[in-house]
Amino acid sequence: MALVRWTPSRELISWPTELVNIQREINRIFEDFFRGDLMDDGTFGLSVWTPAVDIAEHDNEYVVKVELPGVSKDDVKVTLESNILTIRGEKKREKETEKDNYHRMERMYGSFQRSFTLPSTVRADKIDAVYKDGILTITLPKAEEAKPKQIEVKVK
Amino acid sequence: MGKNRVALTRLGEHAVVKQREESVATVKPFADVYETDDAYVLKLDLPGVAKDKIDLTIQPGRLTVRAAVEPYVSEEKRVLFREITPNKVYYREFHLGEDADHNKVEAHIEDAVLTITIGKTESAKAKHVPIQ
Repeated sequence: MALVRWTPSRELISWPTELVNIQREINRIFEDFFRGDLMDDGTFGLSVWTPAVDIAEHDNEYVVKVELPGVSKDDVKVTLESNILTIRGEKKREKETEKDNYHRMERMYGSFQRSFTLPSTVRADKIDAVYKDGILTITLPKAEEAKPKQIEVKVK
Repeated sequence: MGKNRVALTRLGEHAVVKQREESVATVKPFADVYETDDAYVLKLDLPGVAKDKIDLTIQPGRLTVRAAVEPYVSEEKRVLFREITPNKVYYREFHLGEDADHNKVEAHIEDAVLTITIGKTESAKAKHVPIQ
């Protein structure tokens, strides 16, 4: 067994590199947090809004319902691309008062986007969307080949 | 829960009606509350609520909002995806300070957002003092 001369400086250099990295990471987290990026750029808490969706299948159509209270119907866009239904839009905050005068602020604002793959082909030209009482109802008629068929089998 | 409900609807109309009575969920709607110089303003998200289904009650110190959502259970064939509580009543109570004038309440609904404006009593209104 060879004897190696102990150099304290080498230890100081070798093992703390891990610690230095961790230290750097912690500093970064603290900096990000206290810089207030999370709170002040206006996106925190806004981008997380996902409106609730229901999808029901009927014999001849799919019916999609989306809860969109306070969303103007001009701010909603519904698109269909190769069986993927996408609903996107924006709920705009009414600019009425200074933030300081708020007692409660629970309602969510901002942009949203939701996409769903439909289980069968629909008739793109017959899609209907109605907005009433804060609910967007999209009716997507199934394509002929996707409708349930009743086939009579001759019993011999 | 969803599965259970679908099973019940197959038992016939009686079962559906019974189910409807039994499982109405009470949901607390999201609200924004702010004040202006002469009023308090409350905004509540009530998706699925028609204007005539809202019961707004105000008494000294207390304001309650109750709104029923028309259920759409029976028309459904097969639920593929469910996030919306199907059968619910929105209910929320607000405590009002002494400076809220319960004789000066106005409410209107637009795009399922109920806006309630409660005037402040004369003595509570903010006064802008002119600088001499």
